[in-house]
Amino acid sequence: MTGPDHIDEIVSAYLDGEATPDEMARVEADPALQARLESLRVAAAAVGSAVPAPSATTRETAVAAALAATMPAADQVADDPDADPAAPLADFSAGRRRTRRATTWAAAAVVALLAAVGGLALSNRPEDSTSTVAAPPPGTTAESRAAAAGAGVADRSFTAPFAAPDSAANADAVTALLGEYPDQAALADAVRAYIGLQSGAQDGAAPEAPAVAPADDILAGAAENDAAAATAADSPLATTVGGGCPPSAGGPTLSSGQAVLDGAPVTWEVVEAEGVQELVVTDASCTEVDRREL
Amino acid sequence: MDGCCRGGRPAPGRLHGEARTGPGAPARDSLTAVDDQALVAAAQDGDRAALDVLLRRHHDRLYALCRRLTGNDADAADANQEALMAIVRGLARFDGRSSFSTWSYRVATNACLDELRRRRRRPDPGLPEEERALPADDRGGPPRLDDEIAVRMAVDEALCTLPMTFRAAVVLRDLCGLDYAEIAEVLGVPTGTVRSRIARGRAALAQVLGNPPAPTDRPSPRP
Repeated sequence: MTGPDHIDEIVSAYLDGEATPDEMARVEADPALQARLESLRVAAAAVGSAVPAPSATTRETAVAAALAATMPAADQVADDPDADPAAPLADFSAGRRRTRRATTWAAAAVVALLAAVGGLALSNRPEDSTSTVAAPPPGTTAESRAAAAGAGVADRSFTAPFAAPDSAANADAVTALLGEYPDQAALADAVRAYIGLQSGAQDGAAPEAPAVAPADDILAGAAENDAAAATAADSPLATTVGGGCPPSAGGPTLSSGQAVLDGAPVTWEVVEAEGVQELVVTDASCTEVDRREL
Repeated sequence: MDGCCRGGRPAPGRLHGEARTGPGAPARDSLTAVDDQALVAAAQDGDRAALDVLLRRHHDRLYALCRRLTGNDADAADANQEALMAIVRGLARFDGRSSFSTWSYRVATNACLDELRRRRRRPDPGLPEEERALPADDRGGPPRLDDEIAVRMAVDEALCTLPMTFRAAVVLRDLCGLDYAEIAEVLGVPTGTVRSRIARGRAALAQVLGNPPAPTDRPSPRP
């Protein structure tokens, strides 16, 4: 290896006391490396300079909030590897592995993928209230099919009782049926994962490369959590939401669908407003129950 | 505050049981000399006073890490709070194979990464009020608060130019004082990767902060 990077690596390791004896001798014998050592020492000292102390209020608030957090018993987490907040930071750009909870709900997004990507989106016909999805999309890889099959969803007929939003603004939007979610955050996670999967498929990339949640996690989550997938697939989505609700304010609808939120059927839309994608959730009476950035 | 100092090194001789005095829950003061290992064990058994002491003991150094990684006070406070909450939620699965310090650094780094991801979706909070209000003239004399702030801002800005992978490695080394093996454990990468990231990160910082790049490789003069 040659070049400045190699030099810096040796000098930097010397600075940290992590250089080999040969490297140490080389640095100590070379004036140019000594000069470089001083440059890196200045940079290191700058990073190590005093950090402004947090205020007492900041400290008390943080500690109080943490103490208020529930600490699960050891036996409740012993078999839950995804619950580790110190999970390895394998890839900063792709994001770290999500918790089991997020993975569980993201598994529902796989169901949505099976329902929507590959031309299996629900028909934009309000009267067609029993569209059935039975096969995985053509673009689905063997791996994802296997994962989905492991989760018991690939061969499962999926009843879609919802009517798609009927609006010119929504003409190009894909409608998808998601599963059941305990709260808005979980639904938002699933929608993010769904959008990631959808955009991957539209870009011609493999659907296993979503922008938000690593697909491996989603599929692994689906494979490892039969109960969650079964919950999504068996979702009691028996109540039709509106069907006639106007499109949400903010901009064109990029994607939309239905889900069950805290036991109640809802419609979700992803709209784009001033370059920001927002998730808008409305209940059966077309009342907006949640709006958040994605 | 001395940056990201190591906290919670074992203090010999005091066991948690011995620290309990009087009836009811142990007083926080009586636990301050107890080492991390004992505090963690007590907290895992449901001792909230021990948990309180543990969190307070490590708060400032985790905040310092978050401050350097996020680059501003608001995000640092948010990330640090998330980190403490994650520590509480995840403490039951902490098995003591690494030190609590190292484990908590890892949790905090994860929290900062999440915070930075969220920050991309919201407006820049700008400078803290104290920094906006300071005059820029009247130079001379010993280092003044605004000089220190200028240096601090330059460091923050320089760090923000680094990819997160480099930034985390450099901060864990130069602010937190972890060795390469510990950083490798925190970041989940080989030590060789840590060495490379620190070197490249420092080199980029040196350039941003005004130092010239390294000389090209050449044979070393041998005595």
